[in-house]
Amino acid sequence: MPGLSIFCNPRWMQPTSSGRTGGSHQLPMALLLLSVAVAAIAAGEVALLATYGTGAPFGLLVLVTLVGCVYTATGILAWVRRPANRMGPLLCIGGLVWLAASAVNIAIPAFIAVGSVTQTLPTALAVHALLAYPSGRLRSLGSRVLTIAVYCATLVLQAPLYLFGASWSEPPVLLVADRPDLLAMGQRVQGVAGLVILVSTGAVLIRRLVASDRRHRRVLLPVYGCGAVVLVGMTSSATLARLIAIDPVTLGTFQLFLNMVLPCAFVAGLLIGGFERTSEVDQLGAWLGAPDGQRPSLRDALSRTVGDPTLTLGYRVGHGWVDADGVAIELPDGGSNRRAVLVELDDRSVAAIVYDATLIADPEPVRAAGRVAAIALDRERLTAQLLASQEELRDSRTRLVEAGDRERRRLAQDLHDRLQGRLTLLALRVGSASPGDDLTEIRRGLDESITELRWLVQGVMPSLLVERGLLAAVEDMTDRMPLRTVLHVDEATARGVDGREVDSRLPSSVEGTAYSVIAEALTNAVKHAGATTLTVVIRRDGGRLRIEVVDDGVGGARPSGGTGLRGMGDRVHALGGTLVIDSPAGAGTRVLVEMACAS
Amino acid sequence: MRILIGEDETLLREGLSLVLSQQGMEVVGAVADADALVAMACVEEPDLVLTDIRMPPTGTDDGLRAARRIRALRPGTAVVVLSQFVQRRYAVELLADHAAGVGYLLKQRVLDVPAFCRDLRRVTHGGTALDPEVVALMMTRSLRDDEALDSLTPRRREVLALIAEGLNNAAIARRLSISEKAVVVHTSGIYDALGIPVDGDEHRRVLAVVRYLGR
Repeated sequence: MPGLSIFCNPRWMQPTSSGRTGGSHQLPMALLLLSVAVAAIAAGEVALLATYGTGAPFGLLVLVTLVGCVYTATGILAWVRRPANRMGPLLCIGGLVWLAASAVNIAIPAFIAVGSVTQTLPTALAVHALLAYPSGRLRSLGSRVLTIAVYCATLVLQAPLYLFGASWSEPPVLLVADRPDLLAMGQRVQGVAGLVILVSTGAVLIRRLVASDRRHRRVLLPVYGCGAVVLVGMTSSATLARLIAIDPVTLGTFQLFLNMVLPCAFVAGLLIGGFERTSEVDQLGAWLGAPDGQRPSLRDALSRTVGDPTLTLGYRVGHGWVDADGVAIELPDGGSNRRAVLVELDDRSVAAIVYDATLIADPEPVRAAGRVAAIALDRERLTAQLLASQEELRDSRTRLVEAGDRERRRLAQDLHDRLQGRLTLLALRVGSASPGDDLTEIRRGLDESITELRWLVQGVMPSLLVERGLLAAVEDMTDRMPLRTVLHVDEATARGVDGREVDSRLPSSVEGTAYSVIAEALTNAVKHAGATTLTVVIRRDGGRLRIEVVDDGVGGARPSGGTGLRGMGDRVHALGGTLVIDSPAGAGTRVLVEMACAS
Repeated sequence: MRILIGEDETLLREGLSLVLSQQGMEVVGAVADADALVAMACVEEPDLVLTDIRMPPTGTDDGLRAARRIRALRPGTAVVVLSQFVQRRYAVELLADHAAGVGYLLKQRVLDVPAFCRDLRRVTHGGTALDPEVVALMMTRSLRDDEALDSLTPRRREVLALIAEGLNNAAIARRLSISEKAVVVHTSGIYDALGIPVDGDEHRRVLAVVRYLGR
């Protein structure tokens, strides 16, 4: 395809220093040359038609050449404004095809030969363009087969006409033998093939119309309608002329005008219907150089650059993707018309550009725009990441506050249910006792109340955690577990526990969190894991405290499964630590916690 | 019987002084922090030091450490430590050297004044008093992991627990309403099952049992 290489030229992709931001489009040199060349060919043809024109009126013959010019002009316009779209090149080729077909009207043998061969090629091109619209690419198998078929019908099945038809062109330059029988058969075969292809194309386009959404349908419908009229007219002009009793010259003029409308409809659909004005990649560069406060969003700039108003951006955060507001999103998986191009910076994905594949056939310009904007995208990614972590922080803070509230409510409930009633009853009994009564029952009641209170206090703040620290408290916890529970502690931590090295105590926030996490993990293991042995490992490694709680149960624990595990994670994260739950189904559960414990 | 009290809660300190005085014991002092307790013990030379575990100055296990220092400074002094909550670790630490003259009880045992005073007297006279709750905790834990203990009959487990609490054969017999002879049969059966060497010395037998349960 001539000129396409321009768009892959890296130099052209570079942002220019001129900083153009307006609507001025620099026509690439090759397209300029193409338009000049087409204009010259057309001028030459018109001049030849004036001298060597066949029998038809001169005005009608010039109109054929003019159709070629309109195709080329609209093609170049589309190509310049929508570099990522293939309709431009396709329409340019259409212009050349029309010019070639027009040569049949010049009574010079070489021109007649060219014209005879390409006589029906414009029809094939119209079918091709309709099937490829709007991206310019044939996306379905059906449309590919139809396009190949229509080119065969117009190029191969055309052969009998100029090879065997002495009366078919004047003079018959390519004639091999004058065989009216073969000519008639050839015409019939081409006619039937053409009819089949046209009906099939109609079916494909109608199905596409039905499947598309309203926004697309509004653009597709007029273009398809125009195409249908043109194709029917081109393939059955003789029948039409008979049916509506119209003068062939008038009909021909009308048809040629319709053929000029078709490429205009294509381009109008591209540029107006759903497509914004497209800027070039160098404008994206200019955008990148603009001061922060003066530029529109990066999404808008990219959207204009590749010409897809529905373009969206995704930013890589952790193992997932978020939008500009930090909200988690999914990238399209190929099941829809949306496609994603990954933008990489230093061998890591930083962002994804999600575009509409029905509008943009070739991902390369999108990729190129992404390369230019990679650093800016990475910067936006950091903002998105910050917003995402802020979101997560807000959630976890809310959960921590809720957990605190829940805990207080539970404590209040327990104090009320388990102590208040009992103490009130005891007070009543003391009040109604007379001197000399046996107070053993009352003493026993008080004893039970104190026991209740002790356990409640122990639940809130274990006494050993205050008196001896984490290790002693965890040891006491394992003493009271209903299952066999093994505690492994490294030597340095063990020394700190028997009171000899008070200085080696951990900060109370770390002790409290570590204790709660171990308690929660052990409780979960006893309740849900169906384990037989539990293991707790506590290690201090430099300034880090590492805790492992392992069971040999059924596994399959999920952090999202309940408030318990998630609450543990929140508490650990609040101290800047990490909590990992490794729980493959059938292979036990391992809770790993790491926290800074500089003391 | 001269008693020194260490307790940082004023109400409980005064209450203990009052109750123990009423029971015919001589309270030679009642202090509110661990350092004062050690100093006072050296000056007053009491027969028994009764102290809370959690006390000033650090508010952690100062009372327990004070009791052990007093035992080190004046080996003849009996100590009873009180706590809101009982743990295996403290029991093992307290009895690490001698079972004689050591007590570890829940604070709330004070409510049953006669029984509490019996425990104090026993410890003062060289006996041992381990809280039933800590003994039960150690028994449950050992039962979880130890097959030998698991093989004992429920009655023998009861006897074992009472030995650990520091009761002598006569007291065990009274508590379980069986003959002293039956208690002797049970204890030798227990020793056989657990592999504890038979020893007539009651302090040593408590020590052996607590060590066994505290492993």
